[in-house]
Amino acid sequence: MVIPTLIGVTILVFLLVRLLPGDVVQQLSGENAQLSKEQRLEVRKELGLDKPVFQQYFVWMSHVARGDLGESLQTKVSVTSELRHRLPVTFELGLLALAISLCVSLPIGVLAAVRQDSILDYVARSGAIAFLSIPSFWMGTLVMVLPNKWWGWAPPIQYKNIWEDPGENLYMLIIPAAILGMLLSGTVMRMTRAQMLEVLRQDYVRTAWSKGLRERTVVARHAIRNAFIPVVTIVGLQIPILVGGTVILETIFSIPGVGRYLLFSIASLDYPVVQAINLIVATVIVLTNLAVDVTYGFLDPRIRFN
Amino acid sequence: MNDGDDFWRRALRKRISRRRTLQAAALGAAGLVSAHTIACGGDDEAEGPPRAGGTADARPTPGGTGTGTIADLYNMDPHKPIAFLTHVFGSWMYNRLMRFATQRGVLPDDQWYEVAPELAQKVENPEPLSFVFTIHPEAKWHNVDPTFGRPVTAEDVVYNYNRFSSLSPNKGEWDMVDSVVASADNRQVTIKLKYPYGLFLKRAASFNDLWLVAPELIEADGDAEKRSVGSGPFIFEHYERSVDLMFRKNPDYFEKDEWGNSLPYLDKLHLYVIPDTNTVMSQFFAGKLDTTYVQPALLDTIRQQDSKTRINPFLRNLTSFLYFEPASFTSNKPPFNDVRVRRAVSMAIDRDGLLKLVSPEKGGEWPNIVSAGMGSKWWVDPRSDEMGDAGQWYKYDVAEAKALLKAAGFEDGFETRLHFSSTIYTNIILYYPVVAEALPKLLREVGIKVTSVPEDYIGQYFPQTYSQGNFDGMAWGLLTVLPDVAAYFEQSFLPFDAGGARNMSRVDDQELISSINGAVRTWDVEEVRQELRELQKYVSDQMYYIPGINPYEYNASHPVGAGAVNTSGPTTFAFGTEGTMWGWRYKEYQ
Repeated sequence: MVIPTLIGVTILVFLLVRLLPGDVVQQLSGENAQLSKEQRLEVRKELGLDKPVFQQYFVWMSHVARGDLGESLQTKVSVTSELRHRLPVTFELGLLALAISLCVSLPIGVLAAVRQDSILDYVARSGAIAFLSIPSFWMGTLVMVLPNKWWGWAPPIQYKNIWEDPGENLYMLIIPAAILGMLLSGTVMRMTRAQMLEVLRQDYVRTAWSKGLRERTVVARHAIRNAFIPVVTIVGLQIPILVGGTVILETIFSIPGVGRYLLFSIASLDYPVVQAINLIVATVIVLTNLAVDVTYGFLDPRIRFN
Repeated sequence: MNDGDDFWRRALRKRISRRRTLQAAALGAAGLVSAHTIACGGDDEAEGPPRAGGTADARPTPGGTGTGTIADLYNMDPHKPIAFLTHVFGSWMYNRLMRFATQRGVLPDDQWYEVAPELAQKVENPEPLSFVFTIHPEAKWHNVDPTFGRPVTAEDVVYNYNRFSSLSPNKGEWDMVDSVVASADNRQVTIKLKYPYGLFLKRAASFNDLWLVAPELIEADGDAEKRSVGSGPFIFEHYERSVDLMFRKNPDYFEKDEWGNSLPYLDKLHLYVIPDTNTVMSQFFAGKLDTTYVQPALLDTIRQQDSKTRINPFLRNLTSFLYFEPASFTSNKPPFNDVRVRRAVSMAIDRDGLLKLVSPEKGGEWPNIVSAGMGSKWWVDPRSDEMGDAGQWYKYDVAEAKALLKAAGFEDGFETRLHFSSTIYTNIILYYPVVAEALPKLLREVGIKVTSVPEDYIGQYFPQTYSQGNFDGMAWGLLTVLPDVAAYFEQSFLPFDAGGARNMSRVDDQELISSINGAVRTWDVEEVRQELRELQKYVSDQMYYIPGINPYEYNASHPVGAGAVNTSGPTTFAFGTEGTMWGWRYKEYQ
């Protein structure tokens, strides 16, 4: 299913991006240009936009199959080389956000279930709602503005590669990753709590309690693994949210990742870039879902054996 | 007080309330580039605390790194740009034959847009149709691969002209040039014109046109997109897309200051790509940026947060105006085909009220068809006596506007649409959306019921409304910074396919076209100036385009240095030799 899904996505994106209002030739020519009809046709021909859409699609796909994602219409820079710089940045931000999200949401979700209706539970549930409700752009803006107003603090002004300066790299990414992580953690926290509550009411857990096992053993060995199957699904489904979040936070925090590149390219009708990024995002989502399916087998051996 | 005062009170109340609400979320705004007072801490005469050594005549101290912001570049080759930003970028590395005059501190506005030699050591105009430029004997290409510091020659200029005239979208601005020839000793370039053109030297100084790129670079790479080698004050070091842009001082640059110090003073120039305006302001307050562009509504906030910040107001050479659907002129379509209606529209605009709204501290000027930012020598102030009868059409007078509409047969007013960009401009030109919001209310007071039509700049406004004239009713627009006053007339009134790139309304006034051609194709600059001043009155009387406002805008700088030139104007985009080259930092900030 992976290949047909990806082909379907490429067709959809290829068509949709061409429905964006505006004329890329006019955009490329600038405000000063007075292009005649012939000149416009010439530019379109040069860009390969004079051919029928399906032909453009096949040309593009044949290049993609050879690992060539094309050239930016605006900058003439190879999309592949640009993404080679930007993808690691966004992956790092995404992974960091995911790690923060899981580190926060899983323990709190479990504890909130185990201590149901306690203060901790109420605080955790309220926190989850708050994390879900506060948009990342708003939180990002507040983090940018308020500490500066109170203490004169601002995040690093220039992105440093992780290999060049790991400390500075982490300093730059940790705040947007935390904001993104908080956004994701609300859902995961609530799902973890709900699943844990359900599992904790199961007969086999009651049996474990009745055997006199310690709470830690009951929760960690018997409850968590079963509770986590839907949680893993939710984590997998959050990858698109993660990608969306990076677009906003990379812009606010001046991080040179794929999200910012996508925004820049949509605004300038840079078809090859938009197509390439969407293809990559779709691939990541499909592969993540594949990974989620594989993970089920580890969490519940019955799935593996069946 | 009339109804208009109530409107302004309401509008001001509304804006102040909104401003407070959004203050945290909208702290500051940045232009695409915030570099024109870079490293200089703004003007020493600008608002801010005085300090020792900070006077305009203090001796500059070389060294240090200037910091600012810039937007991502689309391309780097100055001969085939799609954006003004490429010219800004080029101005740090490349030279032109001429440039616009600079002076430390405030340049008197009657001296704005006067030309001065740059790469040309001197220029002679032996007869109306030829200009002879002598290349500065010490001018050298940057001491990097592939030029390795070789002298700049006349042949290099010819090479660049040939490339510019075949590639550049702005080549039409040099349509008057017949030939460009190098002398036998390769030190002089003779430019022959097809017809006399008194303002030609301003075209030679234009920040949109003939930047001089090392020919070896073009021969080696095919273009100047990957590397940039010129003869200008800074050497390109690196550009990392979406991160930063860096230049270092050209130690062999040929220009020196009045004390014999080599220019530029700064060792480095570091510009960051920061797309979010709140982030720009935070970085500025944290001291990581020397300067930034700020919106007037936040000036008090800035002063409260850092009382040492210098605020420098400046008048940008940019025109705002209303334009009409082309059918008004091409098919005589009512109502805007009637000059009385156009005059009524102009009289419905309370320009002072708008200026108070968008720039409460310092206000601004009323543009003519020429921006007030061109300076008093070239711009005719619509409020001045010189305007004669045409000046009356700029006055805010609701009763007279209604009378004009009545005389034109629109006693009950009429309905129309106002198209404007709801993106891009709104982030760059902060007053644009405010005026777009106010105009329908002002026009309603004279009986013109306007439906606002916000349009996406890329999707609709630029390709359709602005470029093709595919719209109905009126549109609210901006006219980019132009190098000379002739360009305003040529671009706004010549036929669209014959140099009138910004004749959005397709005005077709043969008498005017003939007058423009007659005026600009004149050798004597003073004569050109007088003729173009007269034409400003004529087009004001006709109100083909309705000039809007020229508000003061503001730049905030830390007091880390001095040497800013031309503060308050003119604001060309050639920041390299017309700005940054003169800026320096105090020792303690290097």
